[in-house]
Parts: sequence; C-alpha cells; structure tokens
Amino acid sequence: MIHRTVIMILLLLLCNFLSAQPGPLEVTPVQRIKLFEKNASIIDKLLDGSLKLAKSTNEPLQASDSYRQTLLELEDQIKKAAGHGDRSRVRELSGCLNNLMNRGFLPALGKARKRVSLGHPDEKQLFELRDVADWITNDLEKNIRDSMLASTDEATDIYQSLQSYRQTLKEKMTPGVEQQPHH
Amino acid sequence: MISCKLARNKILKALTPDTLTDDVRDHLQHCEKCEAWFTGYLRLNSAIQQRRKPIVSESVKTTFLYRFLHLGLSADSPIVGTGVGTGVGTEVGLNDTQKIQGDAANKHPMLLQSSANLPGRKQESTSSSPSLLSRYWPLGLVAATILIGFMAVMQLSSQPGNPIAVLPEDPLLKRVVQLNLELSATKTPSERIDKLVGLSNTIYDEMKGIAKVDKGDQINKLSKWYQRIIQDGIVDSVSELNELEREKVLKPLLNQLEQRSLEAQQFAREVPPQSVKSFQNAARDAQSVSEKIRILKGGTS
Repeated sequence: MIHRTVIMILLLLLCNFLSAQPGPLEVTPVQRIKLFEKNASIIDKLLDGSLKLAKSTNEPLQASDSYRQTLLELEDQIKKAAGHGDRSRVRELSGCLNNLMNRGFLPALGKARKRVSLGHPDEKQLFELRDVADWITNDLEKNIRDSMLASTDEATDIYQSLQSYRQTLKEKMTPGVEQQPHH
Repeated sequence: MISCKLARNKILKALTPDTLTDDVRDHLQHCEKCEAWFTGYLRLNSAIQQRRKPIVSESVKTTFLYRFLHLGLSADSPIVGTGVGTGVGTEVGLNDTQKIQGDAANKHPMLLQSSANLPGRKQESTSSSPSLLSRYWPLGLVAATILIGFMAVMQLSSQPGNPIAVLPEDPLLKRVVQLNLELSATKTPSERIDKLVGLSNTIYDEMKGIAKVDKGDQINKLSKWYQRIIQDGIVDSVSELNELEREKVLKPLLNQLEQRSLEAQQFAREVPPQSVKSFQNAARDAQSVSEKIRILKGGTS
C-alpha cells in the first residue's frame, strides 16, 4: 500500500515536472541570457557586418570585407569551444561559419575577383581577404586537430568544410579570362 | 453419518472446537482415525497460537504463501525476505512455523489443501501469485531513485551559472545569421529595408524576451543594437529609395516605427526597473527615426 502511494506520488511529480519543461524549440529567458552572454561578441560583429553589407550589396569587394570581423570572431569562438571540449557549441558555431562562408563571404569574394582587374589597386584588398580566409582555415584546422575533439564527428565535418573552402577559394580567386590587366 | 472428508473439512472451516456442528461431533465419536486427526489438529492449532507472530513485511508473507502453496516448500527452506522486519529473529520464527505446518501437511495432506480455503486466510491465498508490484518493489525503489536524480539534474541544469547546464542552440544567433545572408542577396534598397526591419524586430523581440530576468546590462546592449540598425541601417537605405519605392515602402515603415515607439513606451511601464531605460530608449529611437524618415519623405504624413 505504501509503495503504491509512493509510486503514485512520484508519477504525479514526474507529470508536473515534464509539463513544466519548455518544448524542444523553446528557450527559457534564463537560457536566453546565458546564450546572449556567450554569443554577444559574434552577434555584435554580425550586426556591424550587416550594416556595412546593407551599404555595399552591389559592391562585392566591400560586401566580402563586411564578413571579415565576423569570420575571425567565429573562428576564435570555435577554437575556444573546441579547447573546452564543448561539442554542441562547436557544431553550432561551425554551422554558422559554414553558412556565412558558403553563402556570404566566398560568393562575394568570387564576384569581387571578377570585377577587379589584374593589377588594380583594389586587388590588394582582395588578396588581403583571401589571406584572411586562408589563415582562418589553416588556424582552425590546426587548433581542432590539437584539441580534445580532434577525432570526433564534429571535427571530421569541420575538416571537410575547411577543405571545401580551400577548394572554392582556389577556384574563385583564379583570374578568369574576363580579368584584364589594369593600366 | 457424514464422510471423513466432509467432517475434516467442516472442522477446518469451523476453526475452533467450540463451533463444531453436531454431525461432526457425531462423526468424531464413531471414527477413530478422524478423532486422532482432530487431536493432532488441536495440538497443531494450539502450537500455532502459542508461537509469537513474526513481524514480517507484506512481501515476505506473500512470498512464503506463494512458495508454500505452489512450489512445494520444504520444512527446511528458509524464507528470506527483503522487507522490514526480516532478520534472524524473523527467520527462526518462520522456520518453526513451517516445520509444524510441514509436519502436519505430511501427515494430513488434506490440511494443506484445505488450509488455503480458510476464511481468515482467504485474502492471502486467493491470488495465484504475488502481485508484480509486491515482488519487484525494490526495483521500483531503484527506478524512483534514478528518477529523482534525473529530475534534480534537470532542475540544476536550468539554473544560470551551473557548469552542468547544456544550452540549446541560440535562436537569436541563427536568426541574425539568416538575415545577414538574406541581406547579402538583396538587389534594391526596398529589399534591404525589409531585411533591416526584420533585423530590428529580431533584436527588439529579444529585448522583450529577457526584459523580466535581465539585470540591465544585456538589455541595454540590445537597445543600442536596435538604435544602430534603425538609425544607421534603415535611414541610410531610405535615402537611396527612388520615388516609386518611397510611395510603396515608407508608409508601412512609418506605421511600424510609430507602433513600435508606442509599444516600447507601454512596455517601459511594465518591465522591472533595470529594463525601463532600455525600452524608453527604444521608444525614443523609433520615434526619432520615424521623424527623420518623414523629413526625407518630404514632410508629408
């Protein structure tokens, strides 16, 4: 009798506990605060970049430059998360990096390469941005390989993405036939 | 005269010699075997009455009865219980009782058969086996302990500053990344304004989301972001609109900014003191930007 009552009470407590939990997509205000603390620096750079981007969507070189600070900040945060062995954060941030690289930075850089003729003064900025992307891919790979996550699924995904960035960068930065030497 | 079987059954049902019926008494007077059996029964009954009743838990009693009735319990079989009251004293008491009952059962098999039907023991012997709850309640106890532990971990993990907290993905970061990518795909100032308004709404919604729990620092930062987006982003993009786009875009934009200003003023009256200033600033900024846009529009309302 007693253990039946105890089990009933436990079941009621469980129901009450589960009903009070947020759904899988809900984030509680307390969690929002924690997430904000962690991601404020990235969002800050993203907003800066977005405002620059809003002024330069038709200027690919400036558009690709608007990603510079955000990508560097993201890379730094991924390294830190990998250093702490925080797999879920590494997965989340590398997803953001992937999106911004593949859909924002690299396409804009490719367009910029097509617009900037060989030897044009803007080429210096173009090469600078290419070097930033190179540095990010190499530094991130080195840090992930040295981290405790080196042989995890997250790390494997990152290595593949980095390899893909290198390939895309190589293709997009190779001058095409339309690039004429600047005089 | 009644048969031996019926007489013995009636004796077992009567429980005490005082309540024996006349036909049973008559039978006992004429049947030596039954008289001897009855004498043994009385001795057994008396011995049982004199035994100190062991203090055992429900599970021990149920296990004992189950084995006694169904598994052919021998007189030497120890009954090992897991409940309250099990121990040396209890085990000895049980074994003694078993021996008496075992001996009696060996001599008079019917006693064993009939004892299950005694009214006083009906509740214990009617079930064919002990209930699962009774047999496996230690497992239930382990499960309950695990459950309580799990609930405690979940509760702790939801508290800020706890190292075991596992945070979900950040919807704000995801949304800002998404809007940035959408912004990069825009071709016209009106499309850009649309995305920047989306960005400002995202930041304002975040302000509302944390207003009641924030200590003031983060909501202040959010209100500054909101200001940057609408003052630097939207106003600049508005100045790039051509006449046709102005007609189409500015009216709903002004309505939205004015609505936002009123809403933020209202919110400033409802949020905790540390968040009031941020909402007042957001209200003022939305109002100020809407005035700038009116000027850009040409002063018409």
